[in-house]
Amino acid sequence: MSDTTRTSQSSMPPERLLQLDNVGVHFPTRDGLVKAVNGVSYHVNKGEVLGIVGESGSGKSVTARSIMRLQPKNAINASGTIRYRCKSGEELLINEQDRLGRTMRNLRGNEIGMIFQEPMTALSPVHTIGTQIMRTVMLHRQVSKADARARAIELLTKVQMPRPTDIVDRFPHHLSGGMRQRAMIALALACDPALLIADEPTTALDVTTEAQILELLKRLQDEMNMAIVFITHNFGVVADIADRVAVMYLGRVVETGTVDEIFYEPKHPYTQALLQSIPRLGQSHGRRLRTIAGMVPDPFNVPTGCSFHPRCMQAVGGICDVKTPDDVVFASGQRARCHFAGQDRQAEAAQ
Amino acid sequence: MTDIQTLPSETLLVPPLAPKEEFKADASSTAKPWTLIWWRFRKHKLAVVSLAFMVILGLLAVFADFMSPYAPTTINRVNTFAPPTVVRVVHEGTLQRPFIYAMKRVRDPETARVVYQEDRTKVLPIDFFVRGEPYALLGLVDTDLHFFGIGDRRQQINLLGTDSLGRDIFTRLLYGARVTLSAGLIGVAFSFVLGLALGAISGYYGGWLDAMIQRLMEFIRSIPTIPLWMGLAAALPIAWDPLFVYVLITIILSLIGWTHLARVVRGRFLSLKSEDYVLAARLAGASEYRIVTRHMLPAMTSYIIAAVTLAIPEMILGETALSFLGLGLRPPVVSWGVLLQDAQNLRTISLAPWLLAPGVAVILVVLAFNFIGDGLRDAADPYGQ
Amino acid sequence: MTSTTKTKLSMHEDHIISVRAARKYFPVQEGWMRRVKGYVKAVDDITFDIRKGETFGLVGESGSGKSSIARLILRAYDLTGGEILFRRADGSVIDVSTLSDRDLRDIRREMQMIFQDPYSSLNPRMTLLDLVGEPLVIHGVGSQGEIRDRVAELLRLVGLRPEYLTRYPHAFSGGQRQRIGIARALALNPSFIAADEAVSALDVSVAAQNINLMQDLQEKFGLTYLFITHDLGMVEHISDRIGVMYLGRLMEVGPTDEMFAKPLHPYTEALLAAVPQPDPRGNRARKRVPLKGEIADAMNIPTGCPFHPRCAYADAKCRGEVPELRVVQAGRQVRCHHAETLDLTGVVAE
Repeated sequence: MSDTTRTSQSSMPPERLLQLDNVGVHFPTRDGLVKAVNGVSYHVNKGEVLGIVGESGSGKSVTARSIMRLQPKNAINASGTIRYRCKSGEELLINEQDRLGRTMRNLRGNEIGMIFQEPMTALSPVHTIGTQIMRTVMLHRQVSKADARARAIELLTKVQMPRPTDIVDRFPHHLSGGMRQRAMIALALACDPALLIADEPTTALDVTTEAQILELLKRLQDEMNMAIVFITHNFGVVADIADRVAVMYLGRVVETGTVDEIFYEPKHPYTQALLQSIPRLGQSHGRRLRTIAGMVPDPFNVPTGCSFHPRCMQAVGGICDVKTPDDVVFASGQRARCHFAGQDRQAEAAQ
Repeated sequence: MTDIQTLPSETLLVPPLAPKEEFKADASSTAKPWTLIWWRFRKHKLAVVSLAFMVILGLLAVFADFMSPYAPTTINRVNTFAPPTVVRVVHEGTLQRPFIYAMKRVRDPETARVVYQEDRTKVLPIDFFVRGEPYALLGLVDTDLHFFGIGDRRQQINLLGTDSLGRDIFTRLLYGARVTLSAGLIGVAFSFVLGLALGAISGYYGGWLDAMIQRLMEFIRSIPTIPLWMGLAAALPIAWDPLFVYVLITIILSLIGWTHLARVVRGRFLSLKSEDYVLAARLAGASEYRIVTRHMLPAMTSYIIAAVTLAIPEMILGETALSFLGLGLRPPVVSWGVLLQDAQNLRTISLAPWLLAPGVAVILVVLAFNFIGDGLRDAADPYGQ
Repeated sequence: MTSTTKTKLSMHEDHIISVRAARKYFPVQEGWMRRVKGYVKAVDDITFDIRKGETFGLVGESGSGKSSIARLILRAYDLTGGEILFRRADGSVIDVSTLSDRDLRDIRREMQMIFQDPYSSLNPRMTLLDLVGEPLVIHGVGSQGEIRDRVAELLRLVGLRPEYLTRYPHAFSGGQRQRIGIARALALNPSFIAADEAVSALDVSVAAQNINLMQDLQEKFGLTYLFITHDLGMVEHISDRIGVMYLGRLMEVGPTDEMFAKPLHPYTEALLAAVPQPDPRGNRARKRVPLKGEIADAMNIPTGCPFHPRCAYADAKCRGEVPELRVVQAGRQVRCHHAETLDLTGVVAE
């Protein structure tokens, strides 16, 4: 690979697979500049599942797409670096690559796989499932057609597709929603990627199918020792699959931590409030749901200071509405982007 | 776990939705649908320019007799195949009001062909509001006032040259615009009525009626248009009044052209029928009449206007093609298609390329309508993203 | 029954809606002659009651027919068979499925609907005044000024500013639009509201606001809700009683607490087990065995119990015989041959 791909800056720790630092993605629109992603930093270690949760407009999908350099054409990569460690061990600065260049094309599919909410956006309706998987395999590997087909059937078996030898010659529209999702996962895993980006893969599915897909992803992740960036708005799903969690709000990561830290000791008021606004099975009947005041501001009018302050029950005038908070880092590695994270007055308020 | 928001019971009825949000008087939140459509249409620069062009052309056509210096049928035997006159402002190095040089008709000694030469000594200033041939403005006011012209009776100003009989092409182009544009508009009006009625029946009632109309439309669309036109037009007796032929031609065009519109209307009806807000109105007890007039038609008008705009050029091209082939309008009616008949001959074109001016006009008008239609189509749904 | 019952139709005094053996089959057409090649049994032999003032939750996966039920009760669709009784405000009982158009118009004042999609359920070309006021205009309630005042009051009731009257829906967020829909549903003081996935399209924090609003309104006006959703957490939170649907059939009906603590139908058990909880430790402790397979094609419903191909407890009887919805405990009905013998686990409250 060329010299530009090598980072001149400090390199990542050896266990690190992907690292985003201060990534900003902006979109020029008729009504002004939308800062969809405004300084996002997170990392994924080898073989771990990072859950990214956030409401609509939090920029969670846009960030993930910038890892693959699959943003819309008019997106402006305003700031930040995205570093990725290839299978060969080399570090690659993704944000410096040409989005249509050979490095990116090799990265997509071979190193990083991606699955979406709607499988039909990733599957071509005019080719059989088998053809699509075979093509991906033959694109990245020097294999014969017969070997590629064998690999396709193997992959379909791996994703627990019923009757894989039959399904391999079917078109996507013959399959049910859950089976399409499996086919898309098989396609994404065609070349044993080290990282899988899953963008709301279970949102459109029914709970029983969702449970099947989650089980499948957990098993595959374990078997292939693959890392997953799992994007969702569903806290239940995150709690089920993630090792670590990043909570996003209005284009920023407001809190990161292990899944237990986020769910049992949330430090950011937004995380705390969100967790209390979800009805939980077995304990919520009749109890009033806690809400977060107001709504997510529109992206043209992001509040000054801490962008959550107008909805925050603990916001302090003169601080929260003026100064953008930095990450407060705790001993355990948990981070919360709040002026008062971990301070006593917040603990009092939460009581 | 304690619930922070244990609010007093009387405040519970107004939950804290956006308590800190300010009331923004944003113009777009109270803007009427048509205002939004106009705002979006304005962003389509080409469409706006085309709209202005068509408005100007329309006015020129309506006031053709005033705007043109001559009458369309006036023959001038000593001014045949005259090239377009050049309007100048500089005479012998000095700036003047717009003028033309007089033309001298000379014969080329070698080819014995008539050629026109500018007589650089004779300055003929262009006058405005001059007296000329009499006409009735808008068919009402008898007058002989023309917008521009030149004082010299023996000389002519031919902005686009003259044809084989010495008739002014600029004048004939304006008169032709009347016929060609109105043929397009009337034809579209006919097909609009047909398309709206059949499309609405098809989309609203569905079932076998829909299936029948669909098959009929497919059948009509599958017939090659030129032979069909030719067949229908050939059936028109040659002795009929040209004006009557003109109306029949537009009807023939619209009999073929309505299918596209019907398809748009049907599609909108089908998609609107499944909209939740239509169901909501029905559940509120709204009558079918109210649902169609208050909920479905307003959501459709902008789409229909866009489709109609895109159908006009088809009509204009149809009229031009028919008349060009000699199957549509015939002289003495002046339309762009009729004018183009003069340009059928390669020799005349090489000698007098300005005879193609009506063709250029057709291209410009068709493009303009297409741009306007595109702009309208993009703006038709100001609520979608 | 009571003296107010004018017709021979009768239902329990506490009930406001009684769905009896309701069926809705949609023909599936083929070819250009629209030949009917089969039927989708969207709703098949459904029987349940809704009590006055309660929230009846209807859960099921997509294609289970739960939305069709709301549309049948509100007579957006005509029934294929069965009857749907409704108790009017004056106490009389009518069969919604046989009403004439004129009587239906009258009934629409008393039963309304809240839609799932906050975008397509509001006509984008109408101001809030026209939208929320439309039912009032249709039913000729009051003068223009009175309608304006009433709409302003309705907006205030759902937590929107009355100044928004002249605005169009595109100026509002999804959550606000949903509130506009609620205001419209309330305009004619209905006694029954069907909410079809009313908060499914909203973000977590906004959904919670609207659920609280709906509960407040229920308390204030004594509303009865039919709450249709696929979100089990939400349905447990809001419902007094729940019906579980699968492939057009009601599998289990019962009080929320009892059903979720101890389901009687294997499908209910499987649904509850499938819901991922916002509780990582609990998820790790609870060994989840996902349900096999997927919901069958509505055109080819399995013989016998429709759930048997996916059921862990199915036997020969389940494959051959269609179970009836029967009462097994006081207030609890289930459509399973083995309800008495199965020992199923529900959700264990921490």
